[in-house]
Parts: sequence; C-alpha cells; structure tokens
Amino acid sequence: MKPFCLLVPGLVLALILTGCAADAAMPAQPPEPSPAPAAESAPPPAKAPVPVPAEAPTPSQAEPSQEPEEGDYFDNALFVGDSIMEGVRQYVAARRQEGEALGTAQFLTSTTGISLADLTGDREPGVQFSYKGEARPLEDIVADIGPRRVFLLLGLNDLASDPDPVVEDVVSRYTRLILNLRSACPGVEFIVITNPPKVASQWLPDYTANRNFGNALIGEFVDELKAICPEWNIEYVDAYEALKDENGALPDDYCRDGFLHLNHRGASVVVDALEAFAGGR
Amino acid sequence: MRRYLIVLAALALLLSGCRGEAKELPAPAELFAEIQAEVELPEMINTAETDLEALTGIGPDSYDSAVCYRLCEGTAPDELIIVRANSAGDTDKIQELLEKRLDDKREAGTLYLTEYQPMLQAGVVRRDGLTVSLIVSGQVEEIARVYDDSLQAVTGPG
Repeated sequence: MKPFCLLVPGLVLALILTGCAADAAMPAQPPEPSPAPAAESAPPPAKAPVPVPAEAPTPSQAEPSQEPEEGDYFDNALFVGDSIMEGVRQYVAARRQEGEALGTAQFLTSTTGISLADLTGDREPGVQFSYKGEARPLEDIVADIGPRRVFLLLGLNDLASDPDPVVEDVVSRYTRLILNLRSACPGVEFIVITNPPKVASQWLPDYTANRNFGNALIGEFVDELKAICPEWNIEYVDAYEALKDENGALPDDYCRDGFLHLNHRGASVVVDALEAFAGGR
Repeated sequence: MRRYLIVLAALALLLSGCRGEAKELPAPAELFAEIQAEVELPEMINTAETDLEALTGIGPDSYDSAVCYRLCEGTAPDELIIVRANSAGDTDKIQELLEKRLDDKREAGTLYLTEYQPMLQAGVVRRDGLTVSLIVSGQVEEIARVYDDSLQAVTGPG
C-alpha cells in the first residue's frame, strides 16, 4: 500500500473529528452588536402620541374570551404597576413557593419610576413598560397577553417626580390611559388599585423631585381618583384604605425602605384587599 | 506499512481526544446550588417559569434549562439568570438578550432607585460553552469564582 492511500482516509478522518470538536466550550465572546437599548427605562424612539380613545380596536389585537369564567378569579389577570406593584409581585412569588396566591395572575412591573405621564405620552422622552425584552406601549403588551382583567397601580411617580403636580391632571391622565386601553383592548376589564400612603417620616429619597411629596398629596389624589372612577365605570380596590394607619400614613412595618415601597407584610394587606374584592364578585 | 498504521492511529487518537465532550458547566439549577453553597446571597426565588421570557425575550424553545433568580423581597436589582442553550446559535441570541437586559437595568438605575447604580455597573453577562449567565449581585466576584472553580473541575488543571 502506498503512503498516500493511508493519508487520504487519514485526512478525511481528521476533518470529521475536528468538525465535531467545534461544539466544545468556547471562551466568552464579545456580544454581537445589539439593537439600541430600549426597555423598562429606555425612552421610546419618538414621542408617543397622546392617547385618545380610539373608535375601533386594532384588528390584530387579541380579544379575551367572553365565555363564562372558570377557575380562580385572578387566573388570566394581569397586574400592571410601578415599583409599589413590584413589592406585591415579590410577595405573590414568595407565596407561590408554598402554595397559591392570586391564581395564575401575571405581573408587569417597572422599577424605573414609570408614571402615567410616560404612558399617556405627556412626558417626553417617556419610559415604557418592557415585555419580552422590548419597551412597548402598554396597550400593545396588554393586547399581546390577552388577559381577562387588568389591575393597575400607578400614579405616585407623577406626584413625586413633578415638582408641582396638579392632582386633577394626574387623575385625568389615569382615566385617559384606561379609556385608551379599553378602546385598544375591548372586552378586557380594567380595575384600579388605589395607591398606598407613604410612611409618616418626612424623609424623601434624592430622586424625588417634589420635595413636598407626602401623605396630604397622596390622600388628595386617592380621594379624587375614587370620586372619578364611578363616572367612568371603573372599579377600584381600595388598598389605600386598607394600608393607612389612624394618621393616614403607611405603618413603618409595612414598608421596606422608610419611604413607601411595600414589604411582604404591606403587600399581604393589598393581596387581602384584592381577595376580598374578588370574593364580592 | 505498520509504521503508517501507527501514525494514522495516533492521529485519530489525538483528534478524538480534542473532540471529547463539550466542556460545560453543570446544569443551571445545579450551578446555582453551588453558588448558593459558596456565596452568601440574599433570599431569592427562581421565577424562570413565569418571568424569564417576559423579562428577557428568551423563549423556552431556545434553551434546555434555565433559572431566573430574583430577589424575594426588596428594592435592590439583584438578578441571577443562568441559561443552558440548545445550540451555539441559540447561545448567541441568548447572550444578546441578556446583554440587553443588563443595559436596561443599568439605564433604569439612572432614573430611579439610583443608589444601586454601582451594583448594576458591576453586573456581568458571561458565556461558558452553551451556558450564558447574567449576574447582578453585590457578590459578582465571588460568584465568578464559583464559575471558575466549576469549570476547572470540568476541564481539569490543564
């Protein structure tokens, strides 16, 4: 046998084997160029239009089933909110380690200080919710998820981040957002969760632009919100009432940061209020 | 003749040695357990089933197994996501999505709860074979050591 007779199969064998070796562990590689960051905190590429209740829903949007409900009231519910809702999500996630909490409800939360002004396009550049890694208008996300009902907990960032907020304007943004969502997602029920008060301490984090942010303002906002909800046929769960102490403040032991973010104990009060609300349906 | 056969056999052995099994970290759940055993982490909950795709866009079709640990309670941005991809192609995409997740978290931290910016800046995305990880923690270096030790155990001292 001539040497090249062995070399040819040898080379073939070598090629096969080196090809297989390509799957072996690779060192960390620089990431592929990725699209410009756009997520929970990212401003949208262009000014979002001010939401105006649309006349007709977008045809591509998912419509929830109108069949009679089965299972838990909170199955197929979506909880949307800011960093206060994130505290509720954490509590529910912890409860689900051991059993059940709020059925199979999903959460869409943001810890970017998201405000109604962001969501209605009144603030530019506005922050949007992020879903599946992309910042998207809330209407699109709700339509994508297709929940039966959506619970909203928003508004305090409007009061805290504006140096001189007008309560009526913030409430008006809230109703505008909900009317817009109703138009975009027909058949979905939208329910407001009233905001918790802050603790009695006057301390405010540095990022709070409104240095007069406090319980008088929160109370005024919640009262106005509760007054206007029936006018628009919007139901609400009164977490504010459930959480406040005799002085109208959030008890310190319901709070995890000496400001207003709920710990598990505070969040459990909100979940109890939600369950009581559901029990009455 | 025999000499050529020996050379050929040696070549085949050499190359099959290179081929070996892919040098992979333990499965994500096992790796997290190792981290938890070695590093003092805050209490965290695995939310991969409910949150991984919603947070990152990483869908179940692209990975074999994953964990997505988020803080049980608190405002800190701690997050430990470990994903074992199905293929090298999926690994690229997962890495891209986790890089974006980290960028987004960093940007969010410039707007709100700004006191956590140092933790966010220290966060990393690392890729080890088919495993891609996002680590946002006050103990990034300690966690990285667990990865390195684990890889060392897989690959041997070299």
